[in-house]
Amino acid sequence: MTTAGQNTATLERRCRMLMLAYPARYRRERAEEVIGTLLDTTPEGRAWPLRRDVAALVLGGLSARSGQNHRLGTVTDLRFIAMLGCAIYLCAVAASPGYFGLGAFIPNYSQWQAWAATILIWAAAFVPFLARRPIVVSVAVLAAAAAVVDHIAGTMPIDVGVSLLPSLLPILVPVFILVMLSGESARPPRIWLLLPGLVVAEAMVAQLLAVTAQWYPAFLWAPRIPLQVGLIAIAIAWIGIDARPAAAVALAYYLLELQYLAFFPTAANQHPAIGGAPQVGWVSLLNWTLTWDVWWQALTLAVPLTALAVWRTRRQAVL
Amino acid sequence: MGKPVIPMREPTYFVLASLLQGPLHGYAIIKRTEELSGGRVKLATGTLYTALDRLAAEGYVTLVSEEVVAGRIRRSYGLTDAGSAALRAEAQRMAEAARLVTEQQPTGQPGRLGRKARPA
Repeated sequence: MTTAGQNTATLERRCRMLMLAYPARYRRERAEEVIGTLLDTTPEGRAWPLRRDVAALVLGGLSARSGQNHRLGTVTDLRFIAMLGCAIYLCAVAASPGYFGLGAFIPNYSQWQAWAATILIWAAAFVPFLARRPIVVSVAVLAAAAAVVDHIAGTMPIDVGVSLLPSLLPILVPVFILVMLSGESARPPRIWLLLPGLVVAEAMVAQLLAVTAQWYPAFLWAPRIPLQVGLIAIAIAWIGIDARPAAAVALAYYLLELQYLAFFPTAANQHPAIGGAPQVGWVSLLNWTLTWDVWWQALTLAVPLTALAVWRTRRQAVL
Repeated sequence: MGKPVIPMREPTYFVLASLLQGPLHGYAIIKRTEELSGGRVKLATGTLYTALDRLAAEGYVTLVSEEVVAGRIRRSYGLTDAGSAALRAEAQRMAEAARLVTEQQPTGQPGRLGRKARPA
């Protein structure tokens, strides 16, 4: 074989490798055609495609994975953003130990029961993106979660005399919205699940660290920060290809803050019988000193993220 | 589909313009686009196929023929009526914008509003 022939073979192999950026279905349909064009455009004797071709393939592949190759219309885009926003919010709420999460709603729970409920709520967040019949599967998952919660409620030493239902609304309402929005045929790209997946990973790491914290208290927070910053960084970097996931992250932040404000445990909304588990109440919404960190988060994270996503979505609409 | 997307990005405009004479395959579109734009628009292959996907989804171009050349599939794309209309609408818009400048009679004192032109 001549050197030129070897170069062509190497070039083709590298083109094929770069095509891995595209989803498998796209590759099956288009890879041969795209590689043919790449071999034609690359100057004779090169073993690598031109630098701009490499960059365009990686970006093109990621944008194809993000479903950016056709305009779906504003309604579908908003539906996708709402679905992902609810999913990220649910993953975060279900996991947060002690404060937002089940621990806040359900006192006297045993560890494994709370974890079972948390995992079921995570499942409910992912089902509408993946299941063929999201409504049926979600109802099944929620029924299982309800059984666990009911079991936990049954083990309480005293009859608290209050319904758990209002406390569970911040979970039930988003699950309901998520299932309703997934009813139509088009689903958000599966790669979007990376973001709620990161939230779940963060919660797992946090739980593992909580176990070791009694010996190494510093480990409780340090490794979680890169994961949280990573979530925001990925959402911002993603804006280069697709602004919708960033808009969803911002939405999830707003939902979390709303939930935080509604359940902030103040003396006014605590029920003495259930060990200070906060109940629904908007008391803290007007309390500036209590809610300062919520406003601070909104101003520094969610609002700029929303602005960036809106700006980029308008550019994305241009053909 | 609906009404044409305006304004278009420059590469989109030249890709559509390259198909005015008839259907072309990927490599030919890249060459023709570069030629038509006087070497300004150099499309990367990945960019071209992303643009073709979006234009096809928009109903502006369509797959015209498939052939196998040297053991590799080669597809040719052509302009649809909707694509042709969108291209013309964009050309019209740019022509009107250009006319504002090209048909302007030089009036008034030169340099009255801005800095005076410096002598060479």
